[in-house]
Amino acid sequence: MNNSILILIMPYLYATLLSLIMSAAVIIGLKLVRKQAYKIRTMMLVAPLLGSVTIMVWVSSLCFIHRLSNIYHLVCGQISLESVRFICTSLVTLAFASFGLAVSSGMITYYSGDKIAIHLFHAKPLNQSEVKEIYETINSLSRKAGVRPPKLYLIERSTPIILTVGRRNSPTIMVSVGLLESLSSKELAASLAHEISHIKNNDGLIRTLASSLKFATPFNLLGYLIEPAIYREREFLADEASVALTNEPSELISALIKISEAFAVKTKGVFFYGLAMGFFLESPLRGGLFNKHPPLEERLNRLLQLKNLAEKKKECK
Amino acid sequence: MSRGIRWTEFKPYEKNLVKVLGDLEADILEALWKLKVVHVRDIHREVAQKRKVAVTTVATVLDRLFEKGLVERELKSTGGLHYEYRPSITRKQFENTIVRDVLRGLFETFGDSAVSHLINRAGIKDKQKIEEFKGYLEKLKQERK
Repeated sequence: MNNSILILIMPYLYATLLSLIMSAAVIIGLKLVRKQAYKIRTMMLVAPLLGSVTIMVWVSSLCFIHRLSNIYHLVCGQISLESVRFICTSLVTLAFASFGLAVSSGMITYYSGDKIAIHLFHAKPLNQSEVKEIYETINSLSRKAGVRPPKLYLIERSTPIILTVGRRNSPTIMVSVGLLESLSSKELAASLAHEISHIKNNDGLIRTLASSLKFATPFNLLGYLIEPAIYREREFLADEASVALTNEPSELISALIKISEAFAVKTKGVFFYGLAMGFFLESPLRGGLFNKHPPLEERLNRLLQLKNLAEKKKECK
Repeated sequence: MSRGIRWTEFKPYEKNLVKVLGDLEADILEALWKLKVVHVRDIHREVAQKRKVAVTTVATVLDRLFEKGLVERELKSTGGLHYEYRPSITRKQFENTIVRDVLRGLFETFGDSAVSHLINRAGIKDKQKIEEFKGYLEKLKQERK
């Protein structure tokens, strides 16, 4: 291959290699960190994505400058102008386009994700008078969590759905009729506490950031494993925070089992669930490295540990 | 046939409603025909007598039956927000639409073979009746054009 072409490709190869090494190191390093240290694990997972983006932007800027300085040589025909133009523009443009696309899609998701989700689900606002008890639960849990009480929207579907959309200072929880008629009031409270924990932990921002960083570095293939891993850590954290709010791990366990059973049959429109942070974006019965929710069994195991811990504390008192 | 069900989904070797619906869909529709207007928990109670199933699974299948146009639901706020479900079609109407659509589909697709099989099966020997069938087939062909 022509040396000049190699010069243009090599920085990207090095950058990709460096990103992959960083990501792989973090994935291996996670094994050394306690499973319940969710916040530290999240930070560890975000670091290689952030590092990859920084490297990619830096390399692309250098390549762009290098390309400008090489125009003289290209015009003089020392190398194949067409091939260099193709490789140079494709890599630089791809890197910048990915970055631009990631930033803009992140902004749209963060600032308008709630409106998009409400529109897609045809959700309607629920007044306090219609569901007084639910609003009382939400207000009490929000006060405990120290967050602004979210607005409540109703999804007119029989399938049990609960999800949170919007930013920390203007959150919205969407629930389906199917959820309200299938869960007991305590199970519903535990599910709402899980969603309010997502708001408290600012998961809307963290998850948008993780997805945007992944899109911004298309060369770092390990980013496709890291992003869902971040989502899974946030789910575990929300489960833990939910138990801290309600002191009712059994109710969350029961709600999780009930909701997961809805997925025992194939459902349509699951794609839409992916726009926001819900209980389940995909079948909770199926685990996997690309799954954005942890496998049900693992969630239940950790909740059972919390339950045992709470019972031991009670005995000690 | 009802919106959402196509004659090509007809499974000739299955039994009863499972010929055109899923197992659970069929049980839920049977329960609705029996109970008329109900809460999801009533349907669940009825279906649970036949098979082990969660109330949320029943709710999800009800969504599917609603999309197929076989179930109607009305939002009620008394006693907590919930749906009242009812079948949107009687058993007789359902059977009629399946027979009509499956036969129409067979005639349209397999024409003469379908007609001759039906004539043999029904043991029709009257020439006039046979001509009537042929006329019906021609009419269908014309409609398709």
